[in-house]
Amino acid sequence: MTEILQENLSKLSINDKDTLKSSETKITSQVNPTVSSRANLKVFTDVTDSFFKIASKIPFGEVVKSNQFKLLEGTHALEILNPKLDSALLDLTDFDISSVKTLDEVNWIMMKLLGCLCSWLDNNSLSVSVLSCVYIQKLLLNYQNLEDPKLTFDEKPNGDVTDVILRAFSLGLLQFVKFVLKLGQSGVIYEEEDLNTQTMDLDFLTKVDVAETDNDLKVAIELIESNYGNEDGCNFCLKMLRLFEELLKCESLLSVNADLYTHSEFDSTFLSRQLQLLSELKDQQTYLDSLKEIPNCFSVNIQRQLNNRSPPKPLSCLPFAVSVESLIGMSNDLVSITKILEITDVIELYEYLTCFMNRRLNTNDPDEIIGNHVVARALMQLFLIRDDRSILGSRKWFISDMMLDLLYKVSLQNSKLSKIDTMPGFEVNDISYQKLLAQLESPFYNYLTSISQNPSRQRQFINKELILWDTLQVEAENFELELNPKLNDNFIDSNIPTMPVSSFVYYFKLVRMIELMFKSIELNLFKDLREINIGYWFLSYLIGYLTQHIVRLLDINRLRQTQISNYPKKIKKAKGDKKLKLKEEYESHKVYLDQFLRVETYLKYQMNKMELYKKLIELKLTTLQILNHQGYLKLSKLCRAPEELLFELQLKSYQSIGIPQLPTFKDYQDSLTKFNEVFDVLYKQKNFRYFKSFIVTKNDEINDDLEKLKELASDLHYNQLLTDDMMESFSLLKTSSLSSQETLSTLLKLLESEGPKALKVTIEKLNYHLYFPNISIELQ
Amino acid sequence: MSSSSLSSSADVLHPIDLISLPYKLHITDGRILSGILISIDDQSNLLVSNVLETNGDITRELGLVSVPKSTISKIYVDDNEWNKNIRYRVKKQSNE
Repeated sequence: MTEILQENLSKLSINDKDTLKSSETKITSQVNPTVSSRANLKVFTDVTDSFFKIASKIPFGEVVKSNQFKLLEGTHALEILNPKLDSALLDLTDFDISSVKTLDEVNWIMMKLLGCLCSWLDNNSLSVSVLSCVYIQKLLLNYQNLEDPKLTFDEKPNGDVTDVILRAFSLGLLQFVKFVLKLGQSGVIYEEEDLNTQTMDLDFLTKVDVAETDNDLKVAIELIESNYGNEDGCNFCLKMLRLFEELLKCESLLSVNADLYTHSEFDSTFLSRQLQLLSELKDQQTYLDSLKEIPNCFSVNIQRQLNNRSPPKPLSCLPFAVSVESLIGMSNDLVSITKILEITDVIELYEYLTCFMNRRLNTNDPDEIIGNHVVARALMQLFLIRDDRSILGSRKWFISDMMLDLLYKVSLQNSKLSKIDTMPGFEVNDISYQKLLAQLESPFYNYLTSISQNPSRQRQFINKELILWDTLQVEAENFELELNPKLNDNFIDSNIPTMPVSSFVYYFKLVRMIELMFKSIELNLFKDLREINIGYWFLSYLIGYLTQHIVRLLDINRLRQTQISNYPKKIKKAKGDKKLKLKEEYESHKVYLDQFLRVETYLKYQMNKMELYKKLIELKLTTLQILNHQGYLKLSKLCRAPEELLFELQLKSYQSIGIPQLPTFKDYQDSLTKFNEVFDVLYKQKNFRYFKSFIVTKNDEINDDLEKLKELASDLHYNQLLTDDMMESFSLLKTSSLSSQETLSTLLKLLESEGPKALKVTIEKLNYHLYFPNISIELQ
Repeated sequence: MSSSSLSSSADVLHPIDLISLPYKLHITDGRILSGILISIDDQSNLLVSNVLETNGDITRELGLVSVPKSTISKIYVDDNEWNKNIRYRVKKQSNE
């Protein structure tokens, strides 16, 4: 055995020498600046036969792989010589960049480039959109030419329309792409899910200042103004150049440093100008339709020529009208971001952020839920939360301050706990209290970051946040219950402790639990009526808890108001130093009276909203449970999983929550059985009078609630944008309410006249509140 | 490389020894792919990472690439790394 091995070793050493001499079987890697240095100075030997002989030892059905490599990653691999995956198989096209001579031709390219930009912002890659333009490719390659970097299309520019106008436009566009790439790479939004930031390793003008590009745009504008008449082409070109002048100013939002609630000045007129230019550009469609296409100016060449880790893809360019609409949406979303500077207190700020997070673009596609524009989402978070955790770059407001401000407003203001740091004998407790407050920052930060996410990620963020709130609730309750016998901060004439911190935590936990379930409905996660029924049934359960808890918060609020109003009586009775002390206390407390009144209105508003939701849910549940009676909520015969398991899986996110405890499957079944028993009697008698009057009652109650909500919203004096958003939401709730009533009424009529016949049940989302899609019922 | 050494490396090396080595794969259409082999299946289809594709004058990065056996005309390997593996196997066997 040893002899054979020795022989092998000696063969190997001979072989080494042989291979070093042989020039036929070896290649030394070429020294090429574009090739990574790791490949240099290595000697490569032809091992084709040995390789396949060794590989043939792999047993059938097995894969040999590196330990670090996960086979799932292999699904992203590009397969050589597969036309669908190998970009080297793409056909190259020729285009002479000096062939474009007229302004109309330049305008056509600019129009297409705008479509490509919006297509990229619509989550396509740069390689199939912006970089598919031969001029953009040339400009970037010339810019990163190590020997002679130039910001021109050609070696020797001759100052024609392409060299001045198209170049300036391209630079403006690339500067905007650079800005969006910066947003995309900042870690706020998700790669590929929200924005594709693959740049094919091209340098997007990293060393070119925006001011320099702005100057190029100005020169181009002057050139057109001085050399061209007032024709359509000239107007279009000017507007496009001016549009990019304004778009480049979006970055200024990130340099705003403002204190919260101070109505800081910020010149956002560039956004109005953007919107104005976009609105004017919309009217130029007739001119654009008259332009001739320039063949091969946009091509797949770059996918074949540059670093490319993606399979070949067809080019993507949005039509001009769609692009303009998309940019209008973006500008409007940016305008709404600037409104944060007009906000007057944390209650309004919290409501504004929640509203911003829930803004949706209604679409026909049931699976497409579109939130704010991706640029606005990324900008919002970077604008709101800075690297140093300050809010809006303020020196006074950090995340912890904002969280504390909200806590004080909701439940902590004027509580004994809030003064613990000044109370003798509570030093140790104060340390624990400060620790508890510091812990609150974590779920609050999660909330702040969730507002910039896409609708699906928002749900994921809320899911994560629930655990944080739940853990904190336990800690806060233990702390406050232990401390209260010493503090004695109870409701009037009772031994019930106010527990302001726990109350705050529990409130936000319940709100987020409800949001999580509503977002599951919004995202269409529940694929059949049975799941939707469970969803609404559980929501009704949670809303019951929340409304009870809001009553508690209102009681705390009123307690503090009463405590303030009791001061004059106490002062009257007191004498000497005690009188003076009480007077001081009264002065310091009464300044918060307006704040208490405002928070009371806010809590009433929340209460009313939840009651309205509950009534809408009752309408939905009645319809769904009648459908259940008719057998429409049964599991498919093919489904092997027990219903209880499916119930538990659907509510899995809530299983770890301590309070409120997750209701059992039996609770759910009992509720269905109870309804079925009652409905069965009525159904046999074809007596649906109760349900008909139920619809009328709910309609009246919902209308009353909506009116109350409008009144309360007006009493809260929110800014116009927030008020408008709320009014739009009320209008959608009204539509959903009417549709729910109509559906229930139709169902009853069908059962009354037709008896048990096959029904077609569909879920419709368009033009309805996303939490309450319409359940449409008709005869099959 | 002599036929005897071919048989020796093929006899000594195990399939796992082929992994993580730098290769240059000559493709039937004339391209050369340089990269690190990370996986190989029973049909000798390869998964190669950090691939640099050389196609005439153009060299570019492709990332993770799957190379079916049918598309390979030649396989070149970094001599040093290959021989290191052989020496390791031989030494291991002699110890056993």
